[in-house]
Parts: sequence; structure tokens; C-alpha cells
Amino acid sequence: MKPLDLRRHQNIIAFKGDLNDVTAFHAYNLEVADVSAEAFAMMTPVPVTTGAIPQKKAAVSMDDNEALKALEDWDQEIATDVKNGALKFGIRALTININQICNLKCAYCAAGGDGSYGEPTNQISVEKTLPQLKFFLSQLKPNQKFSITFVGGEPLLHPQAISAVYHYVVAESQKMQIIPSFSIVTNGTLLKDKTLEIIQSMKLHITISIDGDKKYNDISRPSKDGRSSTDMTVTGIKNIMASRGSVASIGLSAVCSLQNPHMFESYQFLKQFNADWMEFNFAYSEPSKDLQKIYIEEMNLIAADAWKNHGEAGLRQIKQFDHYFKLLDSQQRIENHCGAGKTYLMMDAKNRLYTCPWVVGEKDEVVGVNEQLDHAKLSKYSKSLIELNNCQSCWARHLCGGGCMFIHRAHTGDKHKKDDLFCERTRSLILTTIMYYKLSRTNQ
Amino acid sequence: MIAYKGLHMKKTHIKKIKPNKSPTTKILGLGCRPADEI
Repeated sequence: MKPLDLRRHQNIIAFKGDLNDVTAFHAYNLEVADVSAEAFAMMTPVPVTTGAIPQKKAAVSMDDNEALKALEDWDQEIATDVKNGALKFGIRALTININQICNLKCAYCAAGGDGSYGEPTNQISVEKTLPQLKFFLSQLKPNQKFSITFVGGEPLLHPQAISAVYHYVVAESQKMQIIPSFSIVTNGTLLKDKTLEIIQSMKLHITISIDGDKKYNDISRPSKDGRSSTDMTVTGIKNIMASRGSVASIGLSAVCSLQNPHMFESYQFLKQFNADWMEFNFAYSEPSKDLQKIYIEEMNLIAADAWKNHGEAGLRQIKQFDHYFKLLDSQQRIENHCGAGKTYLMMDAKNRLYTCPWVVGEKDEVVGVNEQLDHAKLSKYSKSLIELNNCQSCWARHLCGGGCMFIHRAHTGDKHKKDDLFCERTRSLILTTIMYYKLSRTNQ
Repeated sequence: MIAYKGLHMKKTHIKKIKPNKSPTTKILGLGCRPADEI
């Protein structure tokens, strides 16, 4: 089952599912609806590759007029209970490079190809990091949330540093009445022995990167010395799943790349572990339209299989679909794909600050160091990404939020010039989600 | 019942689906963070 025959009338898009029913979506009000065949006939066919508003169709009969009027009335409606997604400056989330070295060498690594960002660094200085974190905590008000994500390199090469930061932030947050949460992104190969014990002593949301079974994962995610890594990662997943109660959540993250385009096969492999969630991302720098076509088809296969076997819960085990479900249910418009430079910063292993994990090591992108922030540089990020990236006409804008600046720049050379492939696959995933969202909420 | 010739019955063209507004668990995990999570 997949969305077919996309059409648009101003803020409204509609498409057919395999059952020949028509599903519609109001881009500004985030409403999903059934629309009549007559109304669908009054909408203009559009490809998923564009966010531009097409010419309106002209009514030739009384029935046309009535259908068009219904579309126009809906288009003009302002839903008062939809929440605005504007973000004001205030750092509420930090990603920390615990180190900039890795024991793997992944084919699509965005961190300099080897986890070092071109500047191999062992463990971050805990002595420098703790006052820096205290500074960020001190900017928050009581009952505000503060999120920290540990990455690298491979962060589990230095579990003691993670533990020191974690316990410090927990203690300081308690004093300041801040609500902290902690995540880690790891390749899972070191989730054993003493390291596993340290991880079990913290309440972490854990993301383990694995692309599929051995025949694919060993090609895309080999060890630094070229050897197989999959058995170590699988053992790590099993170890952490066995101590599920000691962690906050466990997710598995796969990347669709030329080395492994078979995301449906990856899904079949990953679901055996029964993690809380899975995600299937497209390699950030991949320019292949053919690979993207396969990716979109495979994501539709994954959605169909998850829906058929486990309904909404199965579908929402896939992070991308869950993300859009949450926005539709909570009626939360978003104006920014991420909080880069507004609510979110990245700290490298030398305590320099950036707006995004993917610009670490680029001198021009440094927006602060230690407890000092460069507010002149940060002010360039103050407008919404929908505005900065010129997405005002796109029907997916309030579920996408203007897209990833880093991916845009990797393909177009400019953070604010959109990558067409990114836009197409985002719209495709959103269409698939809307189709199942209507089924889920109709069946309730 | 009398059928009036020419009477145009109004058809429902848009039938909105109700969202489920009860809170859902937020799932975290990415190195970078979507704006709805921060």
C-alpha cells in the first residue's frame, strides 16, 4: 500500500491509497480528512518532487462549484488549537563528543570518515566540561527540561567520562530543579563487561547503529582494521536488551546506502531484537536518485508489513513514522527541522561549540568555546528554518520544518538552499504516514 | 414524500479525522534532535 496520484489545492493536498479512498491533509492546520471524489477531481495533480502551489482548477458544473467551495472553505479555515512551533533562543539540548576516535570505519561516516572529524581526540576533558554544563544549566528556569546526548567517535571507548558528566548533571539539575534526560548513540560493540555495568548504572536512552545482518553490516560498518563488527554489535544489543529495565529506552538505527539499500531486509533482521524503536535513514551525502527510489519503496514495504502485523503500534515502532504521528496527534506545527543554534548546540571533544554535529572541526562554524557563546554568529540562526530555507509554499513545511541544513549544504553548497532529494523523500515519508494516520484514527 | 425536481442535495466533501490528543511517550535517540523534542 502506498500513496498514489498526489493532488493539491492551495494548503490542501490529497492522494489515493490502494483502496481507492482519498486522503487529504491541510498543511497549515495539520488536519487529516476524507474528501469526496468530486473534491479530489477539483484538485491539480502535482509531483512529490515539488512544494510549489499549482494553478487552481476551474469549475465547469454546479457540482464542481460546490466541491471547489468546500475545498476553499477548508483552505481558509484557521484552526485555533494548532500549536505554533516558533523557537526562541535558549539552549535546552546539547550533544557532546565524548571523544573523536572510533573503533569502526563506516562507509558513510559524516565525522571525517573515521569518527575523528579530522582531529583525532581522546577523552574530552571532564574538568573543562563540567563548568560548561553548569553554565548551560544556570540559564534554565526550574522545571525546564535539559537533554544531553553522548556521541563520538565511539563514546563507549570512554565510559568513565560519560558517567562523570551524567552524575554531575543529575546532581546539579536536582539542585536547580531542572529535568534532565540523557541519550547515547553507539555502535554497540563495547556493550559488555565493565562498560555494560557503567551504562546500566545510568538511565540512558540508547541508540545502537546497525545496518542489517552480517552480509550488509560488515560492508557498511567494518572495524577500523577492516574486520567484521556485526557479531560484536549483535552481542551488545542482546546484552543491553537483557538489562532493559536499567535503561530508559533502546533503539536501533540503520542507514540506507549503496552498500546496503535493502532496508526492508534490515527491518526484518532488526525487529527480532524487539527494541523500543527502529529508524532507517538515508545516507546524508548520497546523491543517487535511483537509491532514493529504492529507499522510498522499501520504507513503504516496511510500513505495510509493520501495519499488517502490529497495526499502529508496529508502524510507530519506526521512528520516522512515529515522529509525524506525534505531530499530527498533538497538533504541533514545527517551524524548524531541528533546534540548531536556537535551542540546541553541539560540543566537540575540545569543548568548542557548534550548531550541528556535522560541522564539527570547521573553524568558521564555531559559535562558542567553554562558557563563552558568540551571539553575533548565533543570531544568524534566529529566524525559522522554514523562512531561512524558503519553504513557505511547501505543503510538508509544518511537519518537516525546513529540512536539515547540513544535508542541504552537502548537496547544494549552501545551508539554506534545499536538497531536492531530501525534500522528495521527506514528503514521501510524510505521505505514507498520513495514509496510515487516517487508517489508525478512523479505526479507533 | 414529495420529491422536488431540481432540489440540490448538499454533499459532504470534507470529513475531518479526529486526532488522538492524549499524550504519547516521547522517544529520544538521535545525535541531532528534531525540533519537537527540544
